[in-house]
Amino acid sequence: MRKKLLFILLSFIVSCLYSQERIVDTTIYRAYYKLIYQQDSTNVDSMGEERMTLLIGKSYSLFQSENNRFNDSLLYSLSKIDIENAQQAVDIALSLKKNTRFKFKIVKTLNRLIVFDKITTDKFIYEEKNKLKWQITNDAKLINNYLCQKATTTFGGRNYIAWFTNEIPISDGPYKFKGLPGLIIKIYDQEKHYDFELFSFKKYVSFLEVNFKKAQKTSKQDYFRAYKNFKTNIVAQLEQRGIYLDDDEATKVKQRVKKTMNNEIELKFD
Amino acid sequence: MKNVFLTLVFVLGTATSFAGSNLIISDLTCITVTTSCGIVGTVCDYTTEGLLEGALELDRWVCAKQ
Repeated sequence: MRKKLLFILLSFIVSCLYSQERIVDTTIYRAYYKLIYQQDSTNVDSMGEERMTLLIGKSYSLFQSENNRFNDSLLYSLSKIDIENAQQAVDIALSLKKNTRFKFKIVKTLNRLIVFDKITTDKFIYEEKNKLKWQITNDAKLINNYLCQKATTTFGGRNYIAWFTNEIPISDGPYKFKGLPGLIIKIYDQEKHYDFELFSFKKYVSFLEVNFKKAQKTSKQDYFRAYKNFKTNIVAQLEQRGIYLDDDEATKVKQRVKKTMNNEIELKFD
Repeated sequence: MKNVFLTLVFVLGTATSFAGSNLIISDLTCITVTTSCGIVGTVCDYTTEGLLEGALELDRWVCAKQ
């Protein structure tokens, strides 16, 4: 009887953990990167800037936009408001939200890289299977007081130059970049359309948590095809998700997306 | 007594398992959204969470910087 009871209790604990649909780890370090990017590949003045966070835990790391993290917390708090008062909740959200271009959350383990991303309100998870092939050179320089060594790689149709430091022996970095002997301090593509640079690295004992509730499992190829289709047919796609604009605004949105969303970080996804 | 205990474990387990995913499902609600750049749109959904997500997305795409 005791064995049966133990089995049931264990099943209950496992089912609780599984139903939480989240990853929890202890964060040990927090790295902040500044990302400078060019939104329109044809316009050098279309530069954008965002602060990105890399939380490094015992078993996982999590990389995301700081503004996106803030918006997620805001949405989580306000979503508890009763639907009868949704108008006020939306007004508060719009007055407090922060602008972000990047909604992805990237979870890295030693051997795997999982991406959680959104196309408007639809949530997706896919596994990045492309492995980075690094070429480490002997070039060295000081960046933000860290002695860095140069490495190069190709990813998503862009050629990257990375500077990593052996002073922080953590094989991680911004976005999907990892696999070097030390933390990546700076990485940019040859065109300098995407440029990540570390500006803070500190011990940070907290919890790392990723909630992937309601996310649809897919492949990277299918995710990017859906995203491309969304951008091509943006007005119809927004309407499918219950978001409506009048005709004049719809035309402007189509033009704006064509002009400002033509330079994604990954140009190729196969 | 054992059966009562086992039943209690299952009831508590089920309740706890679904506690994190509670959603208040209502009739479809549509609200007018004035975005941060002044453009007005409409967002419809069944939940407050959906309306909030829709409004933020509308703002994101409509008010994207040139």
